[in-house]
Amino acid sequence: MTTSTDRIVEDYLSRLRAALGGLPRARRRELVQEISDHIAEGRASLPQGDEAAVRGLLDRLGDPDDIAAEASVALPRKRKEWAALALLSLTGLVLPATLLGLAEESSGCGTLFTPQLSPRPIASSTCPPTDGSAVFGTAVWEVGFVILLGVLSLALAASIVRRAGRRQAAST
Amino acid sequence: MLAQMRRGTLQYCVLALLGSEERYGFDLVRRLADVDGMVTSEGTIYPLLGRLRRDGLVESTWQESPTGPPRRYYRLTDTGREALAGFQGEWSRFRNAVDHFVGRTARP
Repeated sequence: MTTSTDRIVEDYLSRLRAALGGLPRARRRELVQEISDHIAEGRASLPQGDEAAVRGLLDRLGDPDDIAAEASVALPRKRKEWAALALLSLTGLVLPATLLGLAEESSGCGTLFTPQLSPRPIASSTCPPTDGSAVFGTAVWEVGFVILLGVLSLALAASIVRRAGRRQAAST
Repeated sequence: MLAQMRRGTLQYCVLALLGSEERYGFDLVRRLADVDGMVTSEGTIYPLLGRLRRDGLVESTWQESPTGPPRRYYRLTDTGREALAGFQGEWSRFRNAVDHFVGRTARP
């Protein structure tokens, strides 16, 4: 049977669950469990069905929003932000390398980024002369391109992290 | 400002309460809240306990309760004990320094 005090408690816990929405699921479940145990422990020493006493117990626990604010202090970066960072760093390095590999493949003049899977002439007639200095020159140019894009994407990632940090500081 | 100071020092009060014996959440929270000026919302101590546990300053075990569901008991780890000892020294210096300027005994 659900009593009116049960409903008051359930209402409080669902407000708490909603307030903790930004937390990782395991952390939210654990916190709701602990607060719920606290309420059960407190109710055990109260006269049964005493609404005012139960409200007093919940008042002492405080506003669910305050508990949520405390729980999100120094919260590890959200999973979504990590994913964005990883993707950015990856594309900053992998994408230019892939593009260069494709360019080399289509021109048939491989130097650095072409996987040597199929036997083919490394230097066709349309390729620039492949003496040591020319290969070296192309390699420098290609590596520079990759590093430039890598640095750009890292700078972008860093600014995302800073913005997230500021948002977190503002919310506490 | 006061809220930040309270948050910073509250965790050491939790560690100090666990210094002599292990305690379960409700007991710990009530002991803190019963001292005037320590916490305004009892519920905010639970996220703090979780943080202390993840940082390895306290550890917890589940134990049967004579009256109801099992209770989660918290106790200090060696790291927690060291952190508490370090704070105790720093705190008395800091308290004396603040009292020197704003305490009742300070000269105008």
